[in-house]
Amino acid sequence: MAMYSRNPILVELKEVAPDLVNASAALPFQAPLGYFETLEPLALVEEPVFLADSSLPFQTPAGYFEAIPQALMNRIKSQEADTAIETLPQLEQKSAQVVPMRTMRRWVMYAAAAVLMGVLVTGSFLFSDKPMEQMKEKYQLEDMGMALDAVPDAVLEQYLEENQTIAVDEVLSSATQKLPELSDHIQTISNDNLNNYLEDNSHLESAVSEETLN
Amino acid sequence: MHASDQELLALFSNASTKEQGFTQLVKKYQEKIYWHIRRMVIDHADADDVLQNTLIKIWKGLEHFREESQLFTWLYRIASNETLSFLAKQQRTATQSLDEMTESLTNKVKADLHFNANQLEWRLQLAIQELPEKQRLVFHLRYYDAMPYEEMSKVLDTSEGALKASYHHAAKKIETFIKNY
Repeated sequence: MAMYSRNPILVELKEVAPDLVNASAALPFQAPLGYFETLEPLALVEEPVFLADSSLPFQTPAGYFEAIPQALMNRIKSQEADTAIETLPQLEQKSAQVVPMRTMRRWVMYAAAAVLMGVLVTGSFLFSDKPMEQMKEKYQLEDMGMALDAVPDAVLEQYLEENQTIAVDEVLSSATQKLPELSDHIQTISNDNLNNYLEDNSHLESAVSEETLN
Repeated sequence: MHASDQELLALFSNASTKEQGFTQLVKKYQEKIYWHIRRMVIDHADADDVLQNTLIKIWKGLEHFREESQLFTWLYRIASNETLSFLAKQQRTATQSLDEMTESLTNKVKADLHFNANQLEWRLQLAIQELPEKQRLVFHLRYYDAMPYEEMSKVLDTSEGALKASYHHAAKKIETFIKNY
């Protein structure tokens, strides 16, 4: 069965393993008579036949090799036919109404994205100071008077009773006391401070001017 | 008389003669491929399975054969890979260790109807089963097929130096085994 010259092998073996030089290069296995000639591998169940003229010890069933080409082509064609059949149902299903899973999955994806966005926005809202500050700025009442006007008197009175402060007490207690002369206080204030105050509260200017002149 | 490799490839490349070309290729190389496999797996039924799988792979892959090597080298390479895969799968399926695998193959050799321990050829077979799989393959290709290392390196995708070292070690081990058997 060797396709190449055996001489190099023998030369090599003499150097490497001299005892193997005398061993036959033939396999002790036998192939059954006619194994490679028959067309069908039916001979697989037959008793292998010893080939007296072969030095191979292993055997193959009679007619084995003859059967291989045809049996192989039959198997290949069968596999290719199975592959073709598998593609047919896809063509038949085209006419049937099928709800594509992708649309549903797309909605689920949108909903999931919306929820995620909501979580992110809420998280940034809750854990960021800026929104709170912005809220404070937005809702900071610039005009307390206007805000208080919107609150009913009963609510205000209740609040004052429940939250009496020193300032409230002082106001209540000072109701009967005579207030100190304003002119005395104004004289202790420097002109620069007074002018700054007047700039900030221009509506009092006329009243202060009269006092100052007096 | 078989057609040349070029003629077979030409037949195969033509859609109308593809099957004819493949059939002729199988008839030309089936025995060589079979015995290459059988030497490794020992059992005929296993060799038949591996041969069938090998020939189917050849059918599917032949159109991609680039003729960078000889056709026979390419066929042998597919057969070698299929054989090694089969043995690895057999070992995994049976959850066998390497020693158990060796014992299994040795038992298969001894189970052959014509086994005769007095004959050197059979003792040689027993010794070969003691080798690791790839080393066994190297020994078979060199000892039984007298394959040059250059060609063998294309079959097994291994350097010539490594193959030479592997073969020398294998020959030494076998010689020692036979002496002590």
